[in-house]
Amino acid sequence: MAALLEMKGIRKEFPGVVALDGVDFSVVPGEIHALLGENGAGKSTLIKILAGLYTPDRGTVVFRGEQLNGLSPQQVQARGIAFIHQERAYIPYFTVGQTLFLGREPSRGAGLIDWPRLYRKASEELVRILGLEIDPHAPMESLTVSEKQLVDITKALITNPSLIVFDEPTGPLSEGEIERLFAVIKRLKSQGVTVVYISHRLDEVFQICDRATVLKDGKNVTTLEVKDATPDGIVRLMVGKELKEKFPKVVASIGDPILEVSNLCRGHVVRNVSFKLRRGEILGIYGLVGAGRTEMVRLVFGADKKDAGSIMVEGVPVIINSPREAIDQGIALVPEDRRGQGVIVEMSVRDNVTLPSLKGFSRAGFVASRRERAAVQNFVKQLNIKTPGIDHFVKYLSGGNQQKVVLSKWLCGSAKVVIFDQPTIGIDVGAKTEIYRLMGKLVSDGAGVILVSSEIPEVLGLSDRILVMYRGRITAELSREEATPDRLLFYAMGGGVADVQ
Amino acid sequence: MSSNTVRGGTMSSRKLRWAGVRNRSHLAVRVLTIGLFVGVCVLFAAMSPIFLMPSNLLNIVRQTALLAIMSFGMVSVIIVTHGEADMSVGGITGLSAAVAVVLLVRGAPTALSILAAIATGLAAGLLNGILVTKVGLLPFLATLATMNMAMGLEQVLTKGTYVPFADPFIGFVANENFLGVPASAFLLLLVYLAFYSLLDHMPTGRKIYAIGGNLQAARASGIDVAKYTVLTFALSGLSCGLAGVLLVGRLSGLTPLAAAPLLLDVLLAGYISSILSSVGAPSVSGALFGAMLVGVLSNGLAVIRVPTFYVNLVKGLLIIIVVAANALQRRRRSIS
Amino acid sequence: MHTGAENRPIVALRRPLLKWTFVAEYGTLAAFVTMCLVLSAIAPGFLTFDNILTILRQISVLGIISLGMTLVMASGGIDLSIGEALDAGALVSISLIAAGFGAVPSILGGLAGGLVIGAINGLLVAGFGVMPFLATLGVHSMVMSLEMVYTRGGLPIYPYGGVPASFNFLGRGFIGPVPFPVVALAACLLLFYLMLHRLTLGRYVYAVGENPEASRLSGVNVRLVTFGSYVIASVIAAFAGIILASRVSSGQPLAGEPYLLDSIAAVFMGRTVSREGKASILGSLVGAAFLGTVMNGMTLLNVVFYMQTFIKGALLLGVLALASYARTRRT
Repeated sequence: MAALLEMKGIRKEFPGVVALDGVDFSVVPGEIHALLGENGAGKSTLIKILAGLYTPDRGTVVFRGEQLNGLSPQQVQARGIAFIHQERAYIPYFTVGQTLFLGREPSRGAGLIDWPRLYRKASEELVRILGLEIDPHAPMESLTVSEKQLVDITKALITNPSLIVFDEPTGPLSEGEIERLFAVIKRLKSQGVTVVYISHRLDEVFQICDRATVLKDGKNVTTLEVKDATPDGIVRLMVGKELKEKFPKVVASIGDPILEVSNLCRGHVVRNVSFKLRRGEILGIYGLVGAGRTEMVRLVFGADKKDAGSIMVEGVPVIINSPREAIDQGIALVPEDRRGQGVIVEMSVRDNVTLPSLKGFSRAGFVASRRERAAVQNFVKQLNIKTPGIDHFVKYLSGGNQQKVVLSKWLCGSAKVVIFDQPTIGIDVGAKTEIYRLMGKLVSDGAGVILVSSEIPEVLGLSDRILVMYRGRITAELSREEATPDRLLFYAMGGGVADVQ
Repeated sequence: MSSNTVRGGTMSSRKLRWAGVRNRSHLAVRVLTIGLFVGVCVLFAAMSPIFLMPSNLLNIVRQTALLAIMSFGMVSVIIVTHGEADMSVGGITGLSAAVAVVLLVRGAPTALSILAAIATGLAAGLLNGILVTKVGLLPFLATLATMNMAMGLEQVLTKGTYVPFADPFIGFVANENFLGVPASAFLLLLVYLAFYSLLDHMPTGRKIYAIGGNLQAARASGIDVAKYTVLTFALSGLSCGLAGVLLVGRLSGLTPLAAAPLLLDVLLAGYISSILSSVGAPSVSGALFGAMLVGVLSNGLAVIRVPTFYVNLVKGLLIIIVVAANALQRRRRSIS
Repeated sequence: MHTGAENRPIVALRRPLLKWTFVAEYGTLAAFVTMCLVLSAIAPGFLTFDNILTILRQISVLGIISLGMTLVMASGGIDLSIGEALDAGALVSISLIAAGFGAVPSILGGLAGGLVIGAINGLLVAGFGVMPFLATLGVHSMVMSLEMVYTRGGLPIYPYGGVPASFNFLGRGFIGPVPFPVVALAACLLLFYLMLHRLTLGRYVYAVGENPEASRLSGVNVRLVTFGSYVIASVIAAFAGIILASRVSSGQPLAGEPYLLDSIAAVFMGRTVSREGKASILGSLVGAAFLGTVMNGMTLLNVVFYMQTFIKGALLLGVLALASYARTRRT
């Protein structure tokens, strides 16, 4: 059959990283085609090229026989390709109806918007497309995360596109909502709409997809018929190497509790979380998007205000109401949003590394320049940060090297507890492995590490113990031996929880 | 579970929608502001018999018309820039007025002079828009620079002194009654309807609100952000051009920099609209109310013979309170 | 979203366009030198010892204020009330002199006036989270009207009992051949240079200015740094006001207003001098010198005052546009 979408020989290079290296991706009409791969395999780069957000260095994109290279995102969408992004920005004070019809409001002549018709149509479309009974007058900001996403999907489907790309759409959805979404996708398929489905949840792929293309490290691994494949087989294709090699697990001797958190609460986001972290231990925290992991560790670090809860460091109760107080207790956070919160891109490597511990490099308020430079130089060497010099701005470094700068910040202040929040997102494989090794070094030096991650192999490969979060609560605690991908997912999706409300 | 949350969203929005009120603190702000309006009216009426006289009420309308027209442009800019402002409104109004008066003095026809003034405002607004979108300056910096240039040019055109000229038509619109109502009220109504339709009832307005609400979301929805940002600044310039013509009528000529103090009044009207709004972004109707409040305040304080510098003091204090309230509202919204 | 930033090709080690790098880094300096050469050719009396001294005197007040503005802008804000802080310094100190106080309490009183204004700004911006330009605009208009109330509609304050010699020295004295205001500028320059470029405080100021959230997560007390920037800026502006008051032996209401735009312009011109386009002490000095020389040249060439406003506005606009454009071309 002639391909609906044909991407050929796509290459895209970012500073320091080859994101895609000659990838082919072909979708035939009417199929549901899964695009699989680990984080950093190049899935989202490929989709952004399709969407017209990135320009490929090499390669062609052909849709319905028409070359799409060089078109703007709007032009791509006008040709009948719709995108449902993982986290779509929305306008908080727009109503659902206004959001659905932004840019295509029904008119009643003289250029005026026909509001009654807009809201009537909005109600109809919400019911018709996803069977939603959301009030079209409700402001977007009053909706839950999943409702927002469902509105977003409805919006994309109103235009009747011929190809829809779902980028990990089920993250924030409950099981009932996922089933409803799958029903919609199947109905779309029966109407002849083609779907590209990006996910790292294999059960979903086996439930709805016809074919799957697997990417690894920016290259094609294979394209296969889903019905001929097994989950294990696909995992092997995605991961490639054995887990052991990829995640250099350092077994350190586990000592006394270094951090004890009890009854941590913040609104509905974090509910009554308690746990202990021991010296030399890597504590994994797994959960789906929106489970409250990031929010929880931010509370531990004092970045947000907690409603209740207490924290002990090395057995001593401590008061932590600001990051400064956490840092003074030896707690460090490597935040999820590296460019926005981890580093200050418009400052030098040196400025960034010593920012939290600058007082230690000063005498009477003056920066002790020579001592500072020596220390930073040492970290650059030790962590193998690729930069032309320590006065080079961080914005010029690659993602992996930026992350190493964040790490240096905390190593420089000799932290006892290091919290990593999704530390390897958007980082190339080589740098990933180095960051894993540094985690190992931290625990063997007697620190405790908390690893928040969405990647099951990463959590399984590195953690000594794993906590699973679901809707702001810890729903399971699994030892390294007990933990399997299935069990993590089971608890992360609310399995085993009696009272959900 | 999901049906619960869906119903929840429905109920909360229905319960509150009848009054357009977001939450209790927002209700309090509304009651306070409207109470303030009524309160000052009662106060002025009690303190001076002149305040409630028909001639004075008509005078308030005339004074407010100029201010309100400028405020409509200002709220458009506040909306599209998510809270930043157009600092050049006073400067552009003065420059437009100078262009009109200089042309009139040289014997140009009234229509041509009016058009030239409006075109001047439009051009200055376009300059603002281009500085913000193409050159990438912060809105307040770009408009601050434009303000200064416009004021300089205004002084160059008027040679720094009062230029008298009484044009019968412009004077009529600015100062006389038509069907028992100030003619400027009709102009105000016209401009209000134009802005209200555009921002509240046309796709263009949706786009302007979308850009200010969430830039990324607006881009993702295929909105040409630069184009509509330029358009908004141009609208603000346009309304200032119109206000400049009115100013020439009210002053029967032009005193250089007479429009400069209007910046504060217009900002006040714009940010009053912000804190009143049910959606967290100001509206044209709110700006009309804000302009009326400022107009009544200015007039009333003058009628009860409060010296000008105390009036300015009150306005300065008011703007600090209003922007602080606005900032607190925003912070609360971003936390919840 | 970060697509915008990632979308742009960030070239790590490749050389950017030479031409725009040059404009961005040396354009302002080159323009300054060119202007001085042109002025010495066409303006009689430009290159005389007396005139250079005059320029230096003129620059001293603007220069000191620009230092405060540099600090605030480096911390990511703006201070539209900086002219009123200058007025506060001038009016309070001269009023105290008029009331018979000595030089020291009068100077301290003037500085305290600036401190109060800075603290209000800092409270509004750091405490309430008001946008800096709005908060300081409100304070600007309020203090301006307070001044009018205080001076009964703008009448200058003259200390009829005479001015103590020590107070007089601030504006009119000489140390060797150098006027004291110039010495004061040099001292302030050194102080601010150390503060912004050598002390830990300066590092925090720039960090907060670039990314407050990342700074907070690195343990920086963002609110305190922001608050402090406004306070220090206002106090130094009040100091400039005291020098001005001493020079004219009176308190002129609204004397600070013209300095607002000039100081902003100076900082922005200064940003074009610094390599990475950041506000810097030496850059702002170049900017202030540039502006002071322009003003001096226009006076020598008998340009009428309203033309001067226009030319300054155009100059500011040109510099802003050029700086932004050069920077976008460079990345």
